[in-house]
Amino acid sequence: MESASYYYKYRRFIKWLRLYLALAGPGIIVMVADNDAGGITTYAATGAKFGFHFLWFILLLGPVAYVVQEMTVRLGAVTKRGHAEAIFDAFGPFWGWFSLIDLGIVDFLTLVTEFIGMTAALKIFGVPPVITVIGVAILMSAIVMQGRYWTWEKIVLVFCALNLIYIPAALIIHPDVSAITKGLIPGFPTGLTNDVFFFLMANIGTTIAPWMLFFQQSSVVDKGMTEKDILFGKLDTASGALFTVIVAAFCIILTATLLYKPGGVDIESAAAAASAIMVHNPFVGSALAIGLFDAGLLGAICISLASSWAMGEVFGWAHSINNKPSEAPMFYVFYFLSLIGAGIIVLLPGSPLVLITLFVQVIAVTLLPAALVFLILLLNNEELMGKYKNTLVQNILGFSIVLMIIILSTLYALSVVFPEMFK
Amino acid sequence: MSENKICDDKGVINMTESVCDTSQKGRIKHLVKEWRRKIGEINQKYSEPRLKMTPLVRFSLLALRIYLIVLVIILVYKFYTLVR
Repeated sequence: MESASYYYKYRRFIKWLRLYLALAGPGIIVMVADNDAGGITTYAATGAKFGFHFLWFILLLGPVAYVVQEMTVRLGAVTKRGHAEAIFDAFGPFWGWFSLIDLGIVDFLTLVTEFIGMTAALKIFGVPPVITVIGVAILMSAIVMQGRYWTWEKIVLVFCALNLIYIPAALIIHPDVSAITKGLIPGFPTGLTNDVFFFLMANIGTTIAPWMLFFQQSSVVDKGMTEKDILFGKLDTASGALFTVIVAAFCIILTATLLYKPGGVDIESAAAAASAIMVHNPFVGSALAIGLFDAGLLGAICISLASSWAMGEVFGWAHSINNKPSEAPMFYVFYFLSLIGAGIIVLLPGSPLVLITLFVQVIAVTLLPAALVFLILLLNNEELMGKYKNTLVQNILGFSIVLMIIILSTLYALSVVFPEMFK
Repeated sequence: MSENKICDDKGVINMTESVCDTSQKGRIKHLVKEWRRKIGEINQKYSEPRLKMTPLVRFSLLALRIYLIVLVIILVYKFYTLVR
């Protein structure tokens, strides 16, 4: 009798797990893609500069990202609309155009930074930038053009799994476990200096990006998730948040073990870190470079789609990955144009790439607060959300996190524009 | 020399719409007109914000406008000092 009950529970669990695996995707993809080329550079620089000191802070960013992204799951599943369309509908054309145009600019510039990361990563292996750009454009076109959301998602999840390369790479160098344990205890062993503050802000800046809100909500809608799938959407987002902080933590462990010296070491980019490590440990250096390329690729896939989805929603074009190019021509034209445009900018001799990288942070803070405020307001609208509107606890958490992100990301952007501000 | 023909919004000859030319310049003009029409349509479609303008919503939108204006002033200042 008891064994029958266990068997019944087991069957129920397997059924539930299958359903979860079918519905999982948008949350994991958006969170892993958040560890894009810029993100990996920030983590690598944090490890080289401060060692293991801020591992606790990185782990804390997981729940922060979850609270924000979970709201997009509910909003998408209930309204069946992407974030851009939801803003137009709820706040009118002024805020709608502001968000759409700002998103277009931020996404395009971020796409350029992803290409910078990818070309720098493969240059370590002797691949010329032009080959990288052409190869990536062909690969990204092939992934999207096959005409099925499900297939696209599973291919992208494979690239997400490749992000785990930092774990074996960090384990193979035998990091100091006691130092890692100390790094998990919150504190500021070097004091709360301007440098520390700048790096903490940079890490927050890479954790929540405006495109993530647009991407996950559109992705939830394109996947066809409904109210009854919200629980699985939440689990998917939580798994993604866990995945992303683990990858970030191992990336920090890697550079903290190999590059950190008392007083801190400044590194320019993740590619520079990979080149420096390559001299002493080719496997780990290669892993860092492959991880950087993969991060750039994932970022590029998601960012270009976030813009295309948003344009499609507002202009009323067919805008699903389930559509073939002949069925949604404008959606794909926009996708390819942004891809090719970003690739060309990276290849053009004399392009202001450093300026673009800095400018991204500044432009992002003109959109991020707006997108977050709209998100909170939409989630509090009973007419729109019904029983799925924010609870008091969700509001307290949401408002506090949104306020913190707005303040810190604004300070970070200002420090990028006025470097002397935090010196 | 551009040819004058009667055409519809897809550039196909038709006897009901206005006169247009099929040169490059004419096509660009036509495209711009089409985009303007589409944008007008979108503005019309969303002209009435669906969200009820409660005091919290009004305050949030006002704060957002002030935030953005301050940010733009700072950026313009930075640009000005850089140029100087």
